[in-house]
This record gives sequence, C-alpha cells and structure tokens, in this order.
Amino acid sequence: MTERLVKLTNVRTPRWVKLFGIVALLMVVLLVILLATGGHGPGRHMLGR
Amino acid sequence: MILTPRLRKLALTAHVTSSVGWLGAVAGFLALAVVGVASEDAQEVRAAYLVMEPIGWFVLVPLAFASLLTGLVQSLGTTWGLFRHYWVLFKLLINVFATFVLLIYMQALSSVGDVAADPSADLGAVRNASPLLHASFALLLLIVAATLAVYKPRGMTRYGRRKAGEHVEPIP
Repeated sequence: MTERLVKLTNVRTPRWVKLFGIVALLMVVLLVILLATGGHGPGRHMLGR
Repeated sequence: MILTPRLRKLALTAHVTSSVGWLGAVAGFLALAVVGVASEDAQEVRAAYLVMEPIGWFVLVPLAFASLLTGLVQSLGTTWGLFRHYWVLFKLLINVFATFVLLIYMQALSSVGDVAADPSADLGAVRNASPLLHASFALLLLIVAATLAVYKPRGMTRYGRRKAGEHVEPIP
C-alpha cells in the first residue's frame, strides 16, 4: 500500500486528463459565448421556419 | 467523514441507480425528440413536444440532482475524495455542467411545448431539432461519465498527490 502511494505521488498528469481538460474548456467557452450573445434558444433550431 | 461499509454500499447503490436512471431517461427523451423530428403523424409530433417539459421537470431534473448529491456523498464519504483523482473531478464537472445546462434548457422546453399546444401553429413550426441536439449531447456526456466511473483511469490531481504524500516518506 505504501509502495503504491509513493508511486502515485510521482505520477505526471496523464495524457487523457490533458485531452479532457481541453475539451472541457472548449465546451465551457462555447456555452459562455452562446449565453452571452443570446444567440441560443429553441428558435435557433426550428425546422419549419 | 468516511462511511461505514454498509452505508457506503447504500450510497453507491443510490448513486448508480440515479446516474444510470438519468442516462436512461435522456435516452427516452431522445426517442421522443426523434419522433418529433421524423414522424409524419401530426398528433404524434405535437404529443412528443408536449410531454418533454413534464418529463424534464419530473424525471430529468430530479435524477440530475439525485446523481449529483449521491455522487458528492459517495466521493466525500470514501477515500476517493472529491478533488484527489482526475476521473472523480471530471465526473463532477460533467454532472454540474449537464445539470446547469438542463436547468437553463427547461425554459426552452417550455416554449417548445407552448408552440406544440397552439392549434394554429403549423407542423413545420412545431418541429424543432433543438431537443434532439441537446439530448444527443447529454447522452454523450453521461456515457463519458459512466465510462469514467467504470474504468477509473489513473491520475491524481496535485491536491491528491499532496494528500497521498502526507502519509508516505518522500522518495530520495
């Protein structure tokens, strides 16, 4: 158990975390832009108008 | 506070049930959204959009909050912690993000329902791709969260490494 904890303390940030971080950041930025510009709502996706 | 094994299992059962239930409810919602966009039956299309708001308030929102709360109990009541492991942290972010978007989107669902309930609105105005897009995106996010929960990929945050380091001797 101690050996495992020592190993964990030396682990560098895994690649999947960096990838997830970038995607998460992009999603939050996109959400903020959509909400700030007010250009988002059900009317944006109306099919018949 | 660390939960006793019996309470931990109860909390885990509640978390899995609410999270998977949320995922299933979104899948059902997605089916309605497909019906709304693709069906040729006018009554079926209107009915699909009309039931979206009650499903949102009575199923999706409660399950989203149940998943969030039970997840908090599960992480804070066990040695996993909330900010120690990246997979737990990302699950929390996904849950908070999805719940936040869902709450904002409930207003949109209300207007979708209002249009569907208006007999003077033609079918083209009733049909709306927005629920389809949002439900697809929500389903994707919840599948990612479920995958993280099952695989528990390695990786500790700086905080987690520091906490773990408090209990061991540093490597020379």
